[in-house]
Amino acid sequence: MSPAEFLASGLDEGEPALVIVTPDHRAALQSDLVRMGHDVERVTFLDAETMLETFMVDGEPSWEAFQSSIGTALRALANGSGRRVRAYAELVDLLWMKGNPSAAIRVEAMWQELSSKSGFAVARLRREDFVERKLELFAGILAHDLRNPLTAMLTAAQLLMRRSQDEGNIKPLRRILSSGERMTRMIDQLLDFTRVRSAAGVPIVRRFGDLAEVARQVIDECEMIHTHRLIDLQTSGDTCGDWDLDRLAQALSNLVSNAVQHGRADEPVRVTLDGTSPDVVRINVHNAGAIDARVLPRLFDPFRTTQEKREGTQGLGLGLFITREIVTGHGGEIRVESLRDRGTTFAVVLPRTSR
Amino acid sequence: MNKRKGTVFLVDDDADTRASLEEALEEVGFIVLPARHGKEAIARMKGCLPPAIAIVDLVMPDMDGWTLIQRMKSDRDLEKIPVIVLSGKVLRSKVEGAARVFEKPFQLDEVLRTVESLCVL
Repeated sequence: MSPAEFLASGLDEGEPALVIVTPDHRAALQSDLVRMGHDVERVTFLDAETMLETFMVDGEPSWEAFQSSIGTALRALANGSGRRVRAYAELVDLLWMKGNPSAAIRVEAMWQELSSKSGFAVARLRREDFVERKLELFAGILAHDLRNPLTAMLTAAQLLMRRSQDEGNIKPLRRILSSGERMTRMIDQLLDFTRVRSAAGVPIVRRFGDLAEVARQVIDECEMIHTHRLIDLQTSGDTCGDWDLDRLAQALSNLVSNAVQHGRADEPVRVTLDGTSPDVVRINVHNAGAIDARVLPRLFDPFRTTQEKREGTQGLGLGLFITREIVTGHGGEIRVESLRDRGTTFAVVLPRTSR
Repeated sequence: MNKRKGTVFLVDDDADTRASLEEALEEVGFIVLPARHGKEAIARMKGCLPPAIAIVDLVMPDMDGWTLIQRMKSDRDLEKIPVIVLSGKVLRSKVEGAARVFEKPFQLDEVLRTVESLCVL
């Protein structure tokens, strides 16, 4: 819902409206409301910068001053009638843009406090979405900018590794490199996550190729890391298609690593590629472990493992979220089945071409 | 000391990455001419014999990697120099004019092997 739609629906109900915005947005909102057939005279407009000055003291919002300025404006509109007042304000946005996130969060809390204690109802357009978007943008920028210092660190460590003959030095250098590689994977996942959430989606660049080759490469790499684990690959039929092979390698790598990480060590991980259907290739990744039934419905949610920290989990909890995005970006589907006696299977159905 | 294998132009605005790569390339026998951005690279390339190869970062101030490669490819003295791209951005499309693209952080051994193979050609 846009701010204009939010205000218009209140005006339709006969609710008074308070709008606290910058002059540019005031003009845009007024023109939107007029276009929607509303009388802008019924809306009280206040300037956001001026209102900020009424309650900000030394860079911090004062609750008393906030009540006095914003509360008074709302009370005047409610006019003792107990009517609901519709309010749209950019105070939180402005504070974010001014680089004062702690004040933005406090003002958000003050709005909620005012709404619950003021004796009249205040309808507000939710700002959480805005805050979330800002955080995603921030994560994307941060992840991108981390690449340069990380590259400098890892290149220096690799240079030392090339020079070193001493096992006493090589061991800690290996630890630096392996941690750096883990950070790289997290950065890549954060960038993918912000791309997905910014509605751009994971970019898919298709070219013709064989999924079996991709799977073999992914399994080889995984076996190099987990030398004691067996990963079995079985293919049947034609496993070729028009896909983003790098992205599918990323998805398969997530599924196989997950299976190795959470499966039973005494049982092999089984990867099967079924290319017997003319239109789709089916991928199954199976391990003998079982996933807690309570976790299953949220398995593909982002940042899940950071909330439910499990032993052996080293990532941000974005792997399965991104895997699903890659599969759906190809027009495919992914589902998971997990039973104590049968183990866990991730089943992917992948159309051979973009339909 | 290894026998000198040729001159490598190394263009990257990150001083630490540049320093480590420079040391590594020198250790395997290359002469390294570093530059902090595209403009500096063009000025330096014009002032000396063309290098055997150029290693180019993409996102840099004062002429980025894409523009630098474009300039090199339209200059008769520089057009044949193979270019290796190091990119901090995740690229989903080809970089026109690049013989090879490495995403940062890269495997140092692989970059060195690529430099050596392109210099032989």
